[in-house]
Amino acid sequence: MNEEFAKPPKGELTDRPVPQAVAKAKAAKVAAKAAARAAASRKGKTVLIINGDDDIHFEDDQSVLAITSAFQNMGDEVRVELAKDTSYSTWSGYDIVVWSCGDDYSAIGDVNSMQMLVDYVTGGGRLILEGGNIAGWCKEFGAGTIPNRMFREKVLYATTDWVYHDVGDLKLKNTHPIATTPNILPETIGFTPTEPGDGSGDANALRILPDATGIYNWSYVAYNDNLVKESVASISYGLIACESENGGRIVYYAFDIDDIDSPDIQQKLIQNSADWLKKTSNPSALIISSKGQLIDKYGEDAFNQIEQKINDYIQALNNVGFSGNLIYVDDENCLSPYELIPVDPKDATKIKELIDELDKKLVPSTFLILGGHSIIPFHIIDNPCGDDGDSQVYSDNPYASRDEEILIPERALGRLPDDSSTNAAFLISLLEAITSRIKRAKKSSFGLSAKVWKEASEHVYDTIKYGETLKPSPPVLNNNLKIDWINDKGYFYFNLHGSEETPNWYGQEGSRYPVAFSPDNLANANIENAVICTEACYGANIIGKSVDEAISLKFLEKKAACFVGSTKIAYGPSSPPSTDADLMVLKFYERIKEGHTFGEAFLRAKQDFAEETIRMIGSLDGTGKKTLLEFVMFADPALKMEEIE
Amino acid sequence: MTLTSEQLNKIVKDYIKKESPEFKDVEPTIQDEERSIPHEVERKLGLVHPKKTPTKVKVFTFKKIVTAEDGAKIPIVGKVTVDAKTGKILKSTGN
Repeated sequence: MNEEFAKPPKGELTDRPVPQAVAKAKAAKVAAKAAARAAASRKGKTVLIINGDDDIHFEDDQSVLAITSAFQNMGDEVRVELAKDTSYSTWSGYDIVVWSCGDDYSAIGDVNSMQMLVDYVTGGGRLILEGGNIAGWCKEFGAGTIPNRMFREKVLYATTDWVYHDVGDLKLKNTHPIATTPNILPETIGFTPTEPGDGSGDANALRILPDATGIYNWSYVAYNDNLVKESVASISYGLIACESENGGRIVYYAFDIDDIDSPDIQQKLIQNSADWLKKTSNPSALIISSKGQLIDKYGEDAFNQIEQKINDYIQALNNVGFSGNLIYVDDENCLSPYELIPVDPKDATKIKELIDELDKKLVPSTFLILGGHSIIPFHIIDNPCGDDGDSQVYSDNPYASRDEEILIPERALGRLPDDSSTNAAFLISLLEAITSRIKRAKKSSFGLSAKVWKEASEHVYDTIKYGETLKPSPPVLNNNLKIDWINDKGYFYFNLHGSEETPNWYGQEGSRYPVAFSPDNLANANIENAVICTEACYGANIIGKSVDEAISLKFLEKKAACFVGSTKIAYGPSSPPSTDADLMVLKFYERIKEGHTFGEAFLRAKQDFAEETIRMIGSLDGTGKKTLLEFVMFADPALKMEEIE
Repeated sequence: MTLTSEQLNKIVKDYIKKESPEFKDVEPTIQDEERSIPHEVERKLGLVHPKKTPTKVKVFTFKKIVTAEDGAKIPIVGKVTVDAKTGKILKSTGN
């Protein structure tokens, strides 16, 4: 603390320190002001404009000129390069990169350009992407190649749906700083394509992934002079903004900017985009817990130890460029800087509403719930396939959803549970484990399936196996399972039966249900940093369980990095194609193998699951909905697996 | 022509007998299920052209409790979704 300039008169001071809670609230306000000052001071940046318009009509395009002049008018230093001459290694030296394709019909059609752009934004780069047929070309000619898919998902944030070319004016759909700051843009932006309704490359109308924001859509969308349905047109966007995993930001103009009728609006739109891109956006984690519940369960002394460990964790986040905000949902001192009031920590609905408000104010990249059901409760939701014996489903989905629709999450969210014991040692050990930010595990796996589901399980296991074979149960049982099979493995997959009565998971052959895996199997195992997915019924049921009463908690006690499983009865087929829990695990591991953080992988797995289920059966059925709700993740969502040989 | 409940029942029971014989003696419960995608789910996923499906399906649920070798009671559930008009098996899933 800084020393005051002069000492006050003797006798005016007490010997009592400022209460810790008041000091904390004050510190939070000071930090918020400092962040605002830092944002305001970011002026006069360097900008690289890459001219990617290399079609035969390039000379009619004025996009690069419009963009250059907008940045120069803001006092920025601008360099212009042709796409064929640009060197990716120089991009990190600029504050903003603009890739301008104008009305190039075959925009960004090569793998190298796609890869550069993917690497740039996933590495935290700030990008303006301009071009009237980037998404259209990607859709029509990129097919299902991996570079194309990565480019579509990580740069364009486009779905696989059809992309339209024939559009009206730009219509404001969602209020976003790009539409309001510093210039207030009009509700309708006049747009006149050079050659409407053909393959001129002047504009695209595309549908976007849930984590992108569509700012302007089109006054109409048409195909061959026929209007497209309003339900499609209303979600087919022309101006899109998104934030990627590591603080990267993208503004995507899916149109030739010089076809905006007003040059003044062209300039203002670019200025607003630059303003948003320049703002500091360090990735941040929101940590949610309940002070009252922690103190009630563990006592003041243990609570202080837990809080110290949380502070160590936040410091570790800071060391890797993340900021962390700890919010106790029932603590006024935590919430008052954000003009929010405490809620009942037993009320999941109120906690969700509070998280929604905090999301708007803090815009965190990840959400970590600290504690089990007795600290921050699961939501208890009526079972969507009600006649299977589970009347309700325990779920974290509402916390991960930005609105009342809770099937499709939009937030990277995980939970670090505690156990039923009143000794805080387990929770403290989990906090210590996530304070270590490097999670390296071997390229190796262990898979165990009930014999009756072996065929279906092998289809899932293919995503993580490195030459190992999936073990069937029986004959593999908990009492003949070799520790070498599980020691030092990076990935685990289980497709077994589970019970609410015991911690064990069971195999099946005919009408025989032997014990296949139990907590004892982990007693002497080294599974540090492993990722585990189980389809066992109640595989993630931790309510009222001690570490020895739940395999999930046992894995975490042994320092596994991530556990994904179901809180209730989970479903799956006996043979491919994968559906329900099989599909959820398959999608999660696909995303993990792509290098996503645990939170991002889990979020995208649920979105992928819903899309693929709808593609397969035309709807989300009861078991599909239940699967989406009941699968939970116990992990720090900001962490990721680093594979080693 | 729409199949009768008895005809659908027979189709599903024959299927279960073959694919999941552990349920062969279990009487299923039958639920009508409306095949639709909530509008908000469509919006979040950016989907507007879902595959066209039968609007009415029936879900047959077979449920029993078995005893594992350590004495634990395990709920076993099989669900078969069938086109209510044609009797075509659309999905089979279990735990």
